[in-house]
Amino acid sequence: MVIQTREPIIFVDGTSTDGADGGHPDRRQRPANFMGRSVTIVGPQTSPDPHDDPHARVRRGELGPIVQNYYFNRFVKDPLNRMGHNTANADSKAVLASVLARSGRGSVNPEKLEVRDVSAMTKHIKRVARFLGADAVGIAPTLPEYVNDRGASRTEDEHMVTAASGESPEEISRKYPYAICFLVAWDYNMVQAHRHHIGDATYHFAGQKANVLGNNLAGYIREMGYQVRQGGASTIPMMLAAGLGELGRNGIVISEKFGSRVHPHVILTDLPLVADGPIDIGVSDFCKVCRKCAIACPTNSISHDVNKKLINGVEKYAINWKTCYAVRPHTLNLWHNCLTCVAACPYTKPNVWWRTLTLQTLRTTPVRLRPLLVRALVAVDDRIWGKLPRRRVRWLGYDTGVKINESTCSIAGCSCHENEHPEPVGQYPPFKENARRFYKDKAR
Amino acid sequence: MMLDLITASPGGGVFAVKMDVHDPAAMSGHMIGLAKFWGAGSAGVTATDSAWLQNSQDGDDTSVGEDALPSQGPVDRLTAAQQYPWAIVCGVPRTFDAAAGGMGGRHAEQKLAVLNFNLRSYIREIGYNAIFVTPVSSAELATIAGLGALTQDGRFLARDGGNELVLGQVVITDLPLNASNSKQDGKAQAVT
Repeated sequence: MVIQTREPIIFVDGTSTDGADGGHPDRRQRPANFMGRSVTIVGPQTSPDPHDDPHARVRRGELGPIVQNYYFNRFVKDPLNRMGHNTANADSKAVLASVLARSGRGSVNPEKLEVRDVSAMTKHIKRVARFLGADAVGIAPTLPEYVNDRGASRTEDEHMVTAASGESPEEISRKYPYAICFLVAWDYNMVQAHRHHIGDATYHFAGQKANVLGNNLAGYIREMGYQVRQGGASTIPMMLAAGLGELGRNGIVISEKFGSRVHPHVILTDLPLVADGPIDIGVSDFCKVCRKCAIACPTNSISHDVNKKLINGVEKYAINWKTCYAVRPHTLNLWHNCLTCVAACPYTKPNVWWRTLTLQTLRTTPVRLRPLLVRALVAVDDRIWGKLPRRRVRWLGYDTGVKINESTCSIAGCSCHENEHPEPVGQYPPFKENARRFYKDKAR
Repeated sequence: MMLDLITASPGGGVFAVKMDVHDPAAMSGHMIGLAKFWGAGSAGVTATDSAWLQNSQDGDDTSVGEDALPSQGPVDRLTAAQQYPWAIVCGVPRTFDAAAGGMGGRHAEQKLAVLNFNLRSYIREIGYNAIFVTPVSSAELATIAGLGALTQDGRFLARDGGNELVLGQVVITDLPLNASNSKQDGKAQAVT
């Protein structure tokens, strides 16, 4: 379904613009459809359909038999991966996300709590979300462009139980006018172990935490007598609208406090709230100059172009998801999630004072002077953290310092001998040349 | 109720290939590290004793029999103590937020349930069996496992965190372990 560009207002609540809700006082001055400086909405957009997302297309075999076979027949050797994420051959009863996704939802309390002060309720719901474990929370208006077509819902279960309610995106956005968006951050040190089971562990279990949190928050809202829709909208645009970050060159939300190392989650509700607005943390200026993610990407899936491309009515950096996906069957025993673009991003740093200070400096620098500052910051980042982050990380018995063809035990302090563990657990491949070889194999 | 859903879920099957456990002490440290990664404030391993297990017919709805694998049927406490000789005991820090009234204690219980669910799934994925049980006295068991001590008036004081540690169900398993309260913190360390 094609959604026409909205006219003339983004904010459906029409309430206070004084910034008391933590929102942005100047939002009335913003143009319609403003989603921050990192993306430009220039034309009509098509509502997303979960049946056409990369996972669904891989399942249908659009990327060829190798990747399709990987999707249905993959066997992950690392036990943490098998129980952290519902891969095709995992036992879904061992994966908490699947257990929760397949359970029934609670009913809405018939006695609706009257909301007299919308601003106070917004503060309260944000605080509840933080208490339940969210690292950042924002409210967006439910934008029909990003609500799933025909009311389809997507679950955290990789088998993706999708059920189309048949409602149009406009109907859903009227029924659930607010989107509660939150982020759960991945551990910084563990993300440095990208292309490794350590990175996989933080990725999967931050996702699990976000999933439990989303279910808790949804239950809380239902108990207050309001309705909730989970998994019914695209998360990334909602994060931009809620002011939780900007869209990076790597196609991921770059958040204010944690950079790209975040798991976004959104739930739609009819609980009266005050929407926040997009933020400017300089991502647009940074990504134009930096390109560290594009350089580091082992499959060259991230664009090096200076200019953005028009995709579904939105100007943004293009990502080649097909090459990003196609490498996975070949690396399955070594890692499950690449995360190199996340680890390489200069915004992905510990949330400490010098990071806050740098971001504040960037934010307060006039836009025309930002490229100079960004060049200096990228040079500093290259000098201290390197162009491709390759820090050695140890977690439990996992160790990224173990070289190719060496093997070690994944149990820390184990007294076993090396030859008792024929399966290597600490490697960093593939690099770009290996990735190219995989594609050549596939082409044959 | 998510808490009930998690504690009542049967869990996945036991993986067909057992991981070789060369060093039970190291494996105990590994399990404690994983427990802390999943949110435990404190964790320890102790031998299962039938004295602190409840029988399924004792009337408690979260007794041993509730989490037995479907093929096995209810398990009495003596059998359970033999079948699952080690217990992993965890405590989760209690958190409160004055502005989110009423959200306090049960949330920590839920965290403990998620943590136990993950531990059970992990143990089964490495080829061993594990189930949840509710001990007769969580505080006494936590003391045995080295998580803290009981005061003269019977209150539990945690080794790390005073009395703000929520205790509850524990995971019992046939995974070869050693009694331990390892200092493994479950955090990743970057080596420069």
